[in-house]
Amino acid sequence: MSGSFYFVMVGHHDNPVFEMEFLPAGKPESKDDHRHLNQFIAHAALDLVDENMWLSNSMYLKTVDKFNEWFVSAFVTAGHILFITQLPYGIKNFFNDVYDLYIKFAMNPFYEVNSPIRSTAFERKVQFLGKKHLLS
Amino acid sequence: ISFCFLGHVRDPNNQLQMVKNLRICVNNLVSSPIPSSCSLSPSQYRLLGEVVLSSQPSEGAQATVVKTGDYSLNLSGTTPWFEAYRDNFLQLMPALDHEFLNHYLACLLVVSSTETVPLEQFLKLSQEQHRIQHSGEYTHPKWFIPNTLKYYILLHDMSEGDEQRAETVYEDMKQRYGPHGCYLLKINSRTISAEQDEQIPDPWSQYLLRSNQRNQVGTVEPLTAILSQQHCNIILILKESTSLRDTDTLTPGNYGACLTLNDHDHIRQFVQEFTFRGLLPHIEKNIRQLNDQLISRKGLSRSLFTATKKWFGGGKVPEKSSSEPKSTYGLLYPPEAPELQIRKMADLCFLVQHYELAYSCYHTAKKDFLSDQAMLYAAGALEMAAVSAFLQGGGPRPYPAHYMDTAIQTYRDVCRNMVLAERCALLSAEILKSQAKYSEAASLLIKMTSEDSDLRSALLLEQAAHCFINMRNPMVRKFAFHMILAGHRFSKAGQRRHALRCYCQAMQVYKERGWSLAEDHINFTIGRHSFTLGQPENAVMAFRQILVNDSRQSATQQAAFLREFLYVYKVIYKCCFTFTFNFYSLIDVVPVLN
Repeated sequence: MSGSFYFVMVGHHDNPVFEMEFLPAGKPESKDDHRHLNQFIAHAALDLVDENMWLSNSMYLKTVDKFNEWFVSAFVTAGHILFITQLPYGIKNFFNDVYDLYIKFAMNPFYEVNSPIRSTAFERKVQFLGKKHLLS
Repeated sequence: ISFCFLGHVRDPNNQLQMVKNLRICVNNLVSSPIPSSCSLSPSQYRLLGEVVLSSQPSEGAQATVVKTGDYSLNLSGTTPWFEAYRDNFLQLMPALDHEFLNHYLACLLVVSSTETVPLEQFLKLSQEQHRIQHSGEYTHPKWFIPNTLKYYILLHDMSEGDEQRAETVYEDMKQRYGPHGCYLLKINSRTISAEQDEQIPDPWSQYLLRSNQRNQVGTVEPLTAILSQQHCNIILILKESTSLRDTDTLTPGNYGACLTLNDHDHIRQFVQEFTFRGLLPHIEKNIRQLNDQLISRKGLSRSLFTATKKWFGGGKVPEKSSSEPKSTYGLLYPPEAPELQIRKMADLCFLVQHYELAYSCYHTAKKDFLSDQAMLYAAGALEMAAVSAFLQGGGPRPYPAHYMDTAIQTYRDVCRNMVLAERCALLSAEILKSQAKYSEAASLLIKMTSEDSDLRSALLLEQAAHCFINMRNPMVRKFAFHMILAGHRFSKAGQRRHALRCYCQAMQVYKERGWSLAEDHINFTIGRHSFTLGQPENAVMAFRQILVNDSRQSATQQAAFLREFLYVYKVIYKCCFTFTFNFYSLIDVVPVLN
């Protein structure tokens, strides 16, 4: 699974609010029996995110955890909703752009914070950002 | 057979050193195991597997509740299967040449009083022992010092044989071997009768039925792993025709059927005598001797050696007494090399619990070995130095954790000896846990997992998981993840019940939080294992969970889940005419497969 990235936004109760997988163009969807591994790795990294978020002033935490060849980076927002991706190089811009997107989305009074995000528009935009920042 | 005591020795500075709970391990000469070098034999691995398999959590075992943040978990607080594995593993360690803790210190020579000329038999046995140790024909057992302590025992069976005669023979023995070198042991005062009117407990039972029984213990002191390393090894040589009367009727649980409680006392007294008058003074004497040797060597040869080394620059100097067969991990010393004397002295000090002196000897030894590039010995010295420092308790120096790390790394990467690396890692983890350094212990354990042993990796991952949960701020998600990893390895190692347990415990963390792929995976695995282990209801429940929730799986994956569920369902309800499950209502809930 090298070259592909997994992105998840996690709510206050350790619940995933939004997930997306980014695959380089031309790659088939990853095998069914490994997709759950992404969730496991991201979930396990939450402990270290909790620990590290108090140590840094910025929202962007560089690599917080590592499992085999996968790295987990995190971005902590003011409302403590965490963004986590796994990838080998810095993705600060991606995080910032998605954060902007999220803030605008959360301002919608019909959206309940911490509930799963089910908006195709949001998905499309995140996909676009992923292509722009991660897969180039 | 082990015994525990309280005693004292004097160290070279004539300070009195208390020896508490000294354990002695006696082995039959014939049955001492064949040593292997870098790994355990397949049968030993099988034994370890069986030990773990037979140790399962008991029904209604004490569960601990861990509450942190959002989570409230029900966990089993202890892992007796790990302790069983660890204890058996430590016992299976072969005796090696670079360390002496497993080597035999003394030899008990036993002759029955019914022999016509017992003294002659003793002489023969003594010569036999000498031959075995010094002739070079035998690679095992390994002996600690050239001058092994020999202790002569005249065994007198009270029900047959002449007590007076035995006493006379004993007097002769005392003349020859000194009053502290021999003993008259009287046993078997009871006659075997058809009806046993009083049950005398079998004194050996607690030692012989070790591994299976020990799993019942709830909480085990973490330090027992380390302390179980410490015992003095003694060899027992029996004159062949000496046979105890009840050997014909020997069955487990029936050993010692002819012993009265008085006899038990006699045996205890004998061992005490032997230890206090024979063994401990012997150890003391040897420590002193080695110490003298080292002091005399230190002044002269060290400076000479370093000077000549400068002249010849790097190459080995002829003065050096050891001829150097080089191995892949550096220098190998012959058994009586002077460089090993300090290690021997350190080991003796360690056995009598003089940790301060042991530490300084190990420390010096380590420096010597490192400068000689004798890496295996250096690793051994580092390991023991760390253990001594730890056991010393509130000593002047802080615990040298880096020694352990270097030792493990050396064993693993330079010497390629996974067995020693594993032992070192187990000891180090126990020490770190007792210092509440759970995070370090966890990383250490995780580093030791590898492709080659599923069982070991599974056990270590589970232990790491427990470290995470025992931290001051419990790392619950790390715990869950490592339980999953452990479960996976258990499954590969053929330990399904342990695998199921790990997955079920981890499930508590993931349940109903929305990590659907992860949950599905766990439920699927739980379902499969439950079914194989004959728990069909649990299997059905687990599979049902997958199907009832909104699934984000792909079409093929959903189809696979459904297939598995239907198969299990069919098998279970094959024989039932009334369905407790309304199958058709279930169909409505299954999500549309697109």
